[in-house]
Amino acid sequence: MDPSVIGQKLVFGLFVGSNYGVVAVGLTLIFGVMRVLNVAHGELVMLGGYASYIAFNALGVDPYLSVVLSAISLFLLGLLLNTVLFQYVERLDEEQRIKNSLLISFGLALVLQNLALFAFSADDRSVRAAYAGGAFVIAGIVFPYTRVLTFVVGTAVVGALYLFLQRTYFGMALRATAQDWEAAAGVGINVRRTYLLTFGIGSALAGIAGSLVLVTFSISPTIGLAWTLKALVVIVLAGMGSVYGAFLAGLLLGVVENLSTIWVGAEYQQMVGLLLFLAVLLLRPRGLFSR
Amino acid sequence: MTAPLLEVRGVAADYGDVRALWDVNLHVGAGEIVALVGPNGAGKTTLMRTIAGLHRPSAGSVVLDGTDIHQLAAHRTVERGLVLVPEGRHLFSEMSVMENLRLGAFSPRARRSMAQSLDRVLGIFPILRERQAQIAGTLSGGQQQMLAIGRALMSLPRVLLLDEPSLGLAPLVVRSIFEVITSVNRDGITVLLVEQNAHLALAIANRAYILEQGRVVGEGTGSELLHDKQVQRAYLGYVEASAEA
Amino acid sequence: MTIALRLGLLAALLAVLALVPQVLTGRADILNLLFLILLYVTLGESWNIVGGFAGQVNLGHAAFFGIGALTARQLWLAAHWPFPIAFLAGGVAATLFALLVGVPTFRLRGAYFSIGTLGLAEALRIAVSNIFPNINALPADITATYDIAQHYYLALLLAVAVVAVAYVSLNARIGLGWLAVREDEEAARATGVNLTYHKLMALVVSSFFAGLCGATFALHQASFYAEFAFEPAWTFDAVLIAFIGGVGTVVGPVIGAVFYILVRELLAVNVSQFHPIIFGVLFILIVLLLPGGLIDVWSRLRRATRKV
Repeated sequence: MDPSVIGQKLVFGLFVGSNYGVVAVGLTLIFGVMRVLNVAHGELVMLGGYASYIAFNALGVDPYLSVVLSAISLFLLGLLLNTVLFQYVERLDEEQRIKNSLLISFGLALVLQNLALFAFSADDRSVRAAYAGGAFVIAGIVFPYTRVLTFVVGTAVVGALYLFLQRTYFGMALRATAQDWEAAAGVGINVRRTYLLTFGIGSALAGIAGSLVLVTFSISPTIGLAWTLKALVVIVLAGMGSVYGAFLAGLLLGVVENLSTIWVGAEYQQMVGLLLFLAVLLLRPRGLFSR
Repeated sequence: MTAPLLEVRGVAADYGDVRALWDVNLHVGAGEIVALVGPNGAGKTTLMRTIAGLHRPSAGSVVLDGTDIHQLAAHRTVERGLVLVPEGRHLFSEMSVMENLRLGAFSPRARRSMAQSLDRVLGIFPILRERQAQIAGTLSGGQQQMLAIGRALMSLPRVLLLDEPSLGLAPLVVRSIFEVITSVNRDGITVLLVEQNAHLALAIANRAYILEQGRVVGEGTGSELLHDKQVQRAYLGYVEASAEA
Repeated sequence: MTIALRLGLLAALLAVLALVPQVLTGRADILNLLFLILLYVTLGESWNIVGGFAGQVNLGHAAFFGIGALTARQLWLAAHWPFPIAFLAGGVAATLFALLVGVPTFRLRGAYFSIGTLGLAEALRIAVSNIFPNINALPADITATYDIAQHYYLALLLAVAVVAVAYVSLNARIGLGWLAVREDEEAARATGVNLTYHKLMALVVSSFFAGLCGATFALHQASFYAEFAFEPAWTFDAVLIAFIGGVGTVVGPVIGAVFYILVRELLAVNVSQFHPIIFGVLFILIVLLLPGGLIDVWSRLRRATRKV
């Protein structure tokens, strides 16, 4: 097998993996801090894509800059959803919280998907930046501009999150709340507000991922479940609650999926991830990257 | 007599259908050390958590410096100067000593004086200065307790609630912890202390209460209870010889 | 309401249902509607046994439905097995699958079990869509004798069977075990309840009826492509029906199914997205505010009016 073919698959695996990573990071952040499992996360990705689509078509905003708009609007949507819906599970104990948030978000996913179908119709949408058409080639491997930009933006976003969580006081408070919410309240941290903000940030991350999907692939109102499932696979691989591990696991999944097409047909590509997911669930439920 | 700094009035607390506290009344005067002793399961931790705002009372109220605080969320009581060092310490075990201390000063009032507070706390606990970058979960039991108290001090408490500070610690370490408690009290911090080690608690306390099965069954000064035969039999494990001078 | 009166009403209801095709011979549309309702009763009730009685939120229900559908269809049309045997084989195949995956997946707790079953069902769907990509249509000789009344009776029998089994098992010793598992697994284990056995039994019953439900569906469809029966929508519909009607009760999924299909068919005239939106919102409200579902609403109303 020609090494540049393997190299190509690896590189493309990293590109699509960075998308998986950004989506998964949002979901695992919310889960890690507040023990809420939002299976409508994929719908938030979808809505982020549409936010960018609207920004591009109605306002002529550059597709990559529209990521900012998408992040902001999904952040606000996240605040709304937490206030109207998810805060009501916060009073439950951890096990009930996870179960109820799963059920509620399942209903939410249904609602969001159909609202989108109603508003946007079922057609696929995609957007391409005028300048991003070409590619550069290194050692026989093609690096399309769109994919590279997407990878860079995705990595930068996760990097920014890292800086926020590790280097700022508020980021530290967020991590503290994730570890022990009672102790956090005991040092004066407003746990409710921290949850609210975390949900906003996680949703914003979904929105950013959605914009990147719009620009590299395409979106339609029904892509939600696939992305939620993808995110779930990644966070199980990483270990639920492990934020940076989720990004790494996303890259890993992308690479594994792509490389698997060497042996398995492209139609079975998605299944590879699912089987890996099931294997990890059964053999090492704590995930690959947790201590 | 000036009004007490902290008052618990007729507090009742439930876990679901089970009542843990019945009509508890106690008060803590400014500058005092008050101890709360009693058997396991008496409700001491429930009471501390209720005072700190982590548990909602089913009846009664908690009054701090004249203001009713029992409706406040836990983080707000910290802002008003009521800080709990919980049973089992509840450190942010994946974070460093320094991060734990800095988080202790999260509330706005405390954050303004973070630098001074850090200096002060590291002065009280030099071992924490030595190990400031170490991850909290890897500290020894005694060091963790010191960190927990240090973190609480960072919140600039007026009333410090301590739930079982000697739990799981070697006697020598317990001694130094209690020295810190008395020293901190001399600096003006009021202390409410729950302790298994009734002897030590009663020895340093101005006053004390006995809690049994969710009710206050005894009250007195520290030395009164220390020399009380029944208390001795029940909680101190010895009975003094009857020849008292 | 006395037991005798209740039984009498039940018998009357069943009699009416049995006679419907005789009375409404021309009205294939109404028969179709009733068929759908009965099909969804089975769909919801079968899920309810593992999700409501035993409290294990299984998000892979579509896998059982799909296996039942695919097996029955293939055996009947491709292998030319007689209709009733193919039908039962659908249920058996689904049960075998449940036994195969049940033991490993039940090692997962809570949310892990839910997302694990979801992932498993999706993996199966992808596999099926690749192995059986073609649409197959009923051959001419069968479409000639296509009689909706037959399908209606099959669905009716199945619905009655699953509700009866649900009722009987819930009131039997195994039902007690299920409730214990649902309420508190640790406590159940401490009192000697074999967790794996009870969860597996619930899954076996659930999968058997879900498989038969799928088989009923497959035998009814003129044209059929395998992947459709494995779509997660079947799981979601089952969950919606069970919760909205009253999860964990015997009658809940029945009410849920009636409500769900009636609203869907009535609203289908207009915008087809309204139905899922309404049910999504209703589902959220029920999980948050009224965990007992519509049944609970009904009994609360009765209690409230009785106070007067």
